[in-house]
Amino acid sequence: MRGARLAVAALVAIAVLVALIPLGRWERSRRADEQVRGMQSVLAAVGRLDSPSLAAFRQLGSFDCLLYRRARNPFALEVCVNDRGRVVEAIDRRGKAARIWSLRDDPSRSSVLVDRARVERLLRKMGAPR
Amino acid sequence: MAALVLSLAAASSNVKYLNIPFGRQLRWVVLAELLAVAVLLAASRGKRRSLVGAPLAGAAAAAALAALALVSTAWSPDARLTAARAVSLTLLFAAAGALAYAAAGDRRVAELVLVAVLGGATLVALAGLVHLALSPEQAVVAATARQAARYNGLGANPNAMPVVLALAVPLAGWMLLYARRRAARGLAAAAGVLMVGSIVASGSRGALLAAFAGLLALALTVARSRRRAAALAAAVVAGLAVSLLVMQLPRPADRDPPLTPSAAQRTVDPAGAELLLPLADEIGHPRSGELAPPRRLLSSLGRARAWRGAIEQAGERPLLGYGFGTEERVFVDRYYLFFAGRVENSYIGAALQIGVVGLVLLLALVALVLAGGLRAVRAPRSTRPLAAACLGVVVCGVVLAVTQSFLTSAGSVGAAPFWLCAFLIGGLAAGSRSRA
Repeated sequence: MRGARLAVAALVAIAVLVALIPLGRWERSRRADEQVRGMQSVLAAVGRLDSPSLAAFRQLGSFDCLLYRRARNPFALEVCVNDRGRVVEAIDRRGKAARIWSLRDDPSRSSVLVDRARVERLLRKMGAPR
Repeated sequence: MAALVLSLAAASSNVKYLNIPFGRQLRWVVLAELLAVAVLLAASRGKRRSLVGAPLAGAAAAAALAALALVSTAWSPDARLTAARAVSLTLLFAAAGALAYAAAGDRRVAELVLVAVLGGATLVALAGLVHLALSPEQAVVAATARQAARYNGLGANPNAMPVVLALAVPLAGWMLLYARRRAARGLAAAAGVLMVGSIVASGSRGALLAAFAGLLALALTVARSRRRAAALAAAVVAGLAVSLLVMQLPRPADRDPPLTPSAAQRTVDPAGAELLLPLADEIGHPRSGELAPPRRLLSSLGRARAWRGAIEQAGERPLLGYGFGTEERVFVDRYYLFFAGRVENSYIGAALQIGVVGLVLLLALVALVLAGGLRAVRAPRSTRPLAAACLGVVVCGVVLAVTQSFLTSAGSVGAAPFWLCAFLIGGLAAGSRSRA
């Protein structure tokens, strides 16, 4: 009798765990979509990557960033791109607090793509080392 | 068990030839060996033990937590990492469970485990002193304008080794109170002083508070009268006060130390944004002309901000989190006064990894262990000191988990001692019930 109860409990537990899988994946997709929308809004605010407002760069090993001036802030908008051209992080510093959208934890979820070769040219133009 | 504590410490150490390629692999081999020995020990007890009530509920909570960790592979950004870490946690739980089962009928097993944890932690503290003598520049973080010099010992940072030392302090107290031989009590006292001294020198406030919280729990549960409880508690509080005073003695430097030649070579291109606004220091960065506040006893500016940021990030995937074992991958240090790759709070870290569902399971497991511990210390006299020692370690760990991420990381220096003692409480409780 006790063995039967344990077996039922185990089956219920397995069913619950299996049911969690689509839920966990849905949370993952929902967050990724939110971050992508934020990154797209920053890119839209930047306009062209070779905009005259391009003011600075950042190189961090796993990705490189281009920073754009707005008014007196040379770092107002920032777009970070990995070596495959995926935008993995975007920051809007035009307000009081920086608004950050990031998929650093899971870059493959970013559907925002830019021309990596163009990013490279812009970095060299600003004097970034290879 | 002592070997496991040592190998975990080696894997977290700043000594290159201990850490990579040695310590990081060795800890898993030792864990597997411990599991094998624990299972053999449990099997050799022979008589079946009835697992009902709180121990059964605790076992179920632990199994559910491990199962959730494994299933989170399905939504993790690094399935292999999640699977490996979930398996290691499961192995640790299995070893702890087997030892607890063996201890249910034979308290000598529990005594051996506790003495081994204490021995392992003492060796870690001693090894830190040897490292200080041989490589003082690695064993000590130099003073800056913001904070005084801090003792690393073997650890990669000043907060690393104090985790296992703090967990072992209640065990030193247990041995000091209950060891039969005077020499053993003397060794326990010396070990306790060494470990507390190492924690004080490290400047790790969380570890110090946790160590004395564990001692206080031990004192209150072993005292046979209110008078004795008050006397022991007063002694513990006095010890904490003295330790805190001594911890404040070293002063920050007048100015920051010069960059080493290798660090100077790594400075960023002056045209780069990283020089003026590093991404890792963006939040809380002082404005031009402002100075960062010095580190004080009660200051927690950097940590509080980092925790807030991590909670917001956990809120983006609240139910099931980002995947077990992904805390360092998911948490991004953007905080000026915070220097860690993890959240440094086990509860927020758990929420980040396995969401509210996982956090609730973890808290339920801890609550069951604490409740079991309180019941076990009212049990027959023969097991009361053992239960009190285990409860002291658990209380220490629960407090320490507020300022360190280690509870769910089987490879961390503190997880094994904590969970072994936590599961032993269940074993001692089951054993008391059987005898009754």
